[in-house]
Amino acid sequence: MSDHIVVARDLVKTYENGRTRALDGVTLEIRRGEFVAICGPSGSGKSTLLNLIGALDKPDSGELYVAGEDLMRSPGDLAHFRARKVGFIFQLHNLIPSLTALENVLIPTLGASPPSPLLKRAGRFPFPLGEGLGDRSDARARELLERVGLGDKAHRRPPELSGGERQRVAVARALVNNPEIVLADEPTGNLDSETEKHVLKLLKELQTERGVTLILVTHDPRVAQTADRVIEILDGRVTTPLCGR
Amino acid sequence: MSFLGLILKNLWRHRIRSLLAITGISLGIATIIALGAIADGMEQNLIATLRSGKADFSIGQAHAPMIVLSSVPEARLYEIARWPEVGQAVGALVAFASFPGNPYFLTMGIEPEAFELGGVTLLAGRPFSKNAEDEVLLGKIAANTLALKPGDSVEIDLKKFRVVGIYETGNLLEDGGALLPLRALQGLKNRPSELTVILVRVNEGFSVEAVMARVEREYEGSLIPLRSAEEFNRNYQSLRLVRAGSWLVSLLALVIGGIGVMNTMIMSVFERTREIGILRAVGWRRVRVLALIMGESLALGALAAFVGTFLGWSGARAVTLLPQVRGLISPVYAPDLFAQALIIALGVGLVGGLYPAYRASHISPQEALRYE
Repeated sequence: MSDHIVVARDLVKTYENGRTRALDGVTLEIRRGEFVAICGPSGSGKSTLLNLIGALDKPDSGELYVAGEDLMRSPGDLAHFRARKVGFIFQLHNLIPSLTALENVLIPTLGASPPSPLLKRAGRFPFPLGEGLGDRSDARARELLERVGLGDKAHRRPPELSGGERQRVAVARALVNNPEIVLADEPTGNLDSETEKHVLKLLKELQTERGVTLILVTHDPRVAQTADRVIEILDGRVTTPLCGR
Repeated sequence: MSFLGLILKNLWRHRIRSLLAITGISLGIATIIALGAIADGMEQNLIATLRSGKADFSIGQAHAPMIVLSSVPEARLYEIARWPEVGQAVGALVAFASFPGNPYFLTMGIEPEAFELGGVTLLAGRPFSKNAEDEVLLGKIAANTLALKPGDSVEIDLKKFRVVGIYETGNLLEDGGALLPLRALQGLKNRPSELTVILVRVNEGFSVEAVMARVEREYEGSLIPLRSAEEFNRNYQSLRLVRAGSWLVSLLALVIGGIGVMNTMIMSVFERTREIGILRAVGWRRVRVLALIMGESLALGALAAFVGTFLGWSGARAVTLLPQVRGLISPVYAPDLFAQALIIALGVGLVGGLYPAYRASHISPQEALRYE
């Protein structure tokens, strides 16, 4: 069990009071440190599967173990699980436009720990007024921004960054809490092919460097090919992979 | 970046909307501060007026609706003055009279021998004669405002009086008013043999408390001995009404400000649905999202408290500069007034933020991320 970071058995997820069957008995296993692409056409159920693995939603039935947590039986909304174990990268980067790149990377750390002592360091007026979660988080966020090649743009806000740069900020944000697993939902869907190559290369490098498990959802066979293994979903079921191989 | 920094940054993002919400609450807070300070000032002056000078305590009518409407039969004065433990007892009638340009001029009818007990110091001229019917002493502030000096004439309630002197007591209301012979004011106001208060000085060797207790015992239900401001407050409904009015304004401010804040915060939560979804997706717990929105709402209240306090303070100061009320109003800025304003402003933030914060904390991350 410890060798597998994701174990799903006969997962079922329906919407609209059961009228739409998004997942129809999905069974799969993903090893720790593996780079897996979940491939399939639009509406096949791949994003639903990713949401279940990331504890953004719960399956109707089946069994789902992620990073040692039984997600079927865990009570509550599992925010603590997402904060500690999972990093998300979305297709539309989903950065907060009013915050700088550095602050966007720090956002998950503000949710993971209790608030910092207020007004500890009333520095640069008017913002930020406090120290945040301490220099360690700050240093880690800066280090990640350096690593994704945006060290010099830490204080730029998303509207001042290109699409590729925004997605690299999102990659840094996904890694700031040292997650065991990174879930990327069409992370290059909105990028041109050159930028797409850069982002995929970066993701693969970071996955190897940090030993995290990377699960990437895509409908694009070229993107799926960059993964160690491809799981294909069609009509809510795992089928023989045609996508990447 | 800190949690507090994020809260302030979110408010700064929509600064016009935040400013409007702050303006709404701060106007309520300003009203509370200005009204409260003016009411406190009037109350303190009035109480000081009725227990001024060297008297050990005052006696007023029990349960009178207003302190200036206290009615004590003059006969009680003579009874109490005969008590062996009482060194001196003098009566005073307090009434508002119309003066040129001021229909609410404070006048006190008093015997000349009561000046010492009443703490009256003559600055110019002479005291009025005991039975004079047309002599008046003006307070220092009143003489200045009306530009009158001894020897001049003044019309009080359509009757002509001669100014014979100028006095000072150190009390704003008294110094902004006038002293008349007791009989003259009783006649002018058609209140013969009637007093507002009796000022009592107790002989050495006797306990003030014991004399007060005797007043209470012998005139139970009709007269009441008063010494502290609290005793005045307890006995006179008018002061309680001022307080109740102030609290009513506070309540209105709470409701109106609360609706304003709620509107601002609901708009903000609605616009940030996707953003809140991101926060939830990256591991923010419901309670943290709740704290963020409540924090923004409370910050609006706190900022409004500061702005409103400044506006209220300035407003009350501006009112004192009006010639019509100069000498009548001297705002008192008690710490508990500021505490009340701060609590109300934070209460507005709290009440206004509760529902939006609840809504925000219950946004489903998965659905919010699909939100356009």
